[in-house]
Amino acid sequence: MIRYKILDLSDERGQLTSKILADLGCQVIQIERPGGDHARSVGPFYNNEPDPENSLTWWAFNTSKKGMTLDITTPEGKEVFLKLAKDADAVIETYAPGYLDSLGLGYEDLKKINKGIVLTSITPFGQYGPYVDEGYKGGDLVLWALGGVMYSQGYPDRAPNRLNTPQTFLHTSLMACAGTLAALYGRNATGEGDHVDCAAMEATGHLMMYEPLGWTYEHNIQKRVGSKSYRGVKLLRQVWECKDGMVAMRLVNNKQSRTLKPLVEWMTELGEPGVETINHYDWDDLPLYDMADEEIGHIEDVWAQFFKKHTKKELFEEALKRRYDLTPVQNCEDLINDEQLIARGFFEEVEHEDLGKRFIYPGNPFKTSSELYHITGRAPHIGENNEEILRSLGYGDKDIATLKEGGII
Amino acid sequence: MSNRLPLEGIKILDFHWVGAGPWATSFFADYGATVLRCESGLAPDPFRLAPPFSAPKGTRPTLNSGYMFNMLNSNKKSLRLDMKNPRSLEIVKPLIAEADIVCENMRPGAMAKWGLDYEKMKEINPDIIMVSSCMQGQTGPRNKMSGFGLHLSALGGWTSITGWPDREPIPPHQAYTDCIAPVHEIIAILAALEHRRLTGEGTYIDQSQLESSMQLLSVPQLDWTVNHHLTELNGNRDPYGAPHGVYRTAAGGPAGDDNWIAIEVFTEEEWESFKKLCGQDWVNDPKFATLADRKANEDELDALVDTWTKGFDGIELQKKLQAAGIGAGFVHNGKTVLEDPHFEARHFFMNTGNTEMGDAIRFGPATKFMSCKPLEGYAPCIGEDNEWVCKEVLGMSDEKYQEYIDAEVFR
Repeated sequence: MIRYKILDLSDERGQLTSKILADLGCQVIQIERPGGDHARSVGPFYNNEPDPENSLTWWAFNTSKKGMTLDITTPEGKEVFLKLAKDADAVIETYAPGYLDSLGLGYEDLKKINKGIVLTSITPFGQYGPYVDEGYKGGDLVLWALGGVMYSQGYPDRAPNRLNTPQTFLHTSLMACAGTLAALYGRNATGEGDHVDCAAMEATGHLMMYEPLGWTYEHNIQKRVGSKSYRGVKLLRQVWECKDGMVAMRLVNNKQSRTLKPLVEWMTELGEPGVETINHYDWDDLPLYDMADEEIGHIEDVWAQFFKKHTKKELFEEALKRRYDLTPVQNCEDLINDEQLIARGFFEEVEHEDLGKRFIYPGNPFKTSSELYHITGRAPHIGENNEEILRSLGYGDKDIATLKEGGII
Repeated sequence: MSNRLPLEGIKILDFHWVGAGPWATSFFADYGATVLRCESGLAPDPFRLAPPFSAPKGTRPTLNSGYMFNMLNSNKKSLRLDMKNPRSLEIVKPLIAEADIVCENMRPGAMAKWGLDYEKMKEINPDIIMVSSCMQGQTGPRNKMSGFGLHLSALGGWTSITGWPDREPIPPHQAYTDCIAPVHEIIAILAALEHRRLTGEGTYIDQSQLESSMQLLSVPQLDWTVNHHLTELNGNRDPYGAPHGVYRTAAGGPAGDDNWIAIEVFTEEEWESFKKLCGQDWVNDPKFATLADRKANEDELDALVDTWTKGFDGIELQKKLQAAGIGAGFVHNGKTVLEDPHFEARHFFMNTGNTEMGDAIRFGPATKFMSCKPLEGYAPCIGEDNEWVCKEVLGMSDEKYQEYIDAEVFR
């Protein structure tokens, strides 16, 4: 376990950062504005009932944390925050660049009371640059666009596609978590903290691999080819309808075609109609890139007919047994029943004692020999740990009542 | 200002190859750690042989001419070593004794075949941190399953949520899980280093790329486990915005004939600004008055927005919309992304080719520290640092070094 003290002022765009730190054993206080953080208004909701305590977005990214409400824009709230910051290791935030400075809570201010503190800022465009100066706004879709990876994702006759759940700020939060831990590592040698600048546009841009190289050195732009694959040679099918859903598989070139040979053998054993027109190819070394498009299309047609007669499960079980490269296109229901994930104990039950229920959450992103990562509890309710935290700072009943009446907490 | 880097002093012996693994250690190398790639010339890293190449057309690419390799291995060192030669262990073992971290992403069991599983490593270096990263983890019935990005994206749920409801789903970005797991690996290593500082204890890290990636699928996953509701294909739509989509802009723009802009209108204030900027009659149609109205008539709305955006250059429209307080972004491709003024001002793209390569574009790290700048060195030629490793790090004599050359250890 690691033991850093973390204050998190971020909304849903940054909360994964300190969720990971909290699951790693850090003491994390998620600080929300009185009334509750914006993440609480983002669905989906438990039982589809919109309520600040029902947001699954909030649940997902605030496990293992303590929660407190605090209006840091008031002098009293600021005082509480600075008391907490005095012996915190890191502060995470998602405000517009300069906002914390305007409250007297920027990195330079925090450094004065705590030389070793790390401030990690998660924003669409970072702390500086023209899009920051011009006050640009950027949500998930805009960042997918500017990041350069969405262009080639989609059908040629339609717009490029994002994924149907926000991702760009989650990638950024992962980088923010890495950055926070790196800055804290560096502090061991210098005693000094740092300001970590995480721009979602860069974290998304980082998902590009080939794209800028392809243009610069080959004058090639990756075109959209829908569900297919095109690597400058052949257009190949990648997803296939089967009896009860879809499977993923692709023809591969030369010696790689060995990874499909057992499928052709199985079809031959079953006497699949049409298999005699494809099993004469050299499946140990298929010269795919030299084959005519019609030939490739024909092999794909024979497969397409075959898959329609079998279920995802049948095709995958046989793939594992015979060793050909094919997987089901799983959805979240399939994942919960996935044998490999179950065998490794991936999913974790998290107690929601207030609802009298336990729910299954995605578990550890990595396994370790000694326990490093463990979800210790559900996300906090609004202001759940206010009193406990204020008392630890020396506030008494009367002070707490005053803060409550003033709308500070 | 001195440029002290936060990860200075960390020593990584890096048996990674291909994409995801080297991506993780590149963060360490960019920020000051000593990362030594241990690689074979007989079974080289496929990324050393992945196009595009710096070699002139018609000539054979070498192991040092691949730009993809350069992108993910800058600032590292390279030790060329034939691990199948038993004498290689004489060089690797003292390096393990010196290292903080050993990492690999081969098929489960490959390191053990060389006599280098975690237990053996602990005998050499009791507080070593070791990372084994692979597609589905070291254990379980599918630990050795083969496949590539297409398969893992499908298995991990990503393909099922990407695309349009009336079309086949789209395997996202070819190898989507490869873009997530590396960052979890960085986090795991840094957490293990802190754990070691607190307890003196090393850690073995078993990373399944499938499992790591699923953390980013948490919300749809909870929606299933809690509500039994499945997230499905939905184009680019969002429950909290309309218009919320990607629309065509004028041909002949920066992306040639295929120009697009992403537009996000969430609040009523943003919708009012949009109406004013757009100025078309249809914006005042009562069927678009509230968010609920716009969601109910979204097909029609999207078609109308698309007719309007088509008249503009995409970059110009991005500027206009942003100036009006509306989130908008040109859909960059591999060409236009290099022309983006914001990326340029933040020095996101660097130029770092090796001695054989000349100029070579790579990204800088996606995390910036205000106290320092990342290194801008190149990715090593294969075996570039053999002599340094043997003589400087291991203190070998010239004779001894020659003996290993003669024994064909550095192949």
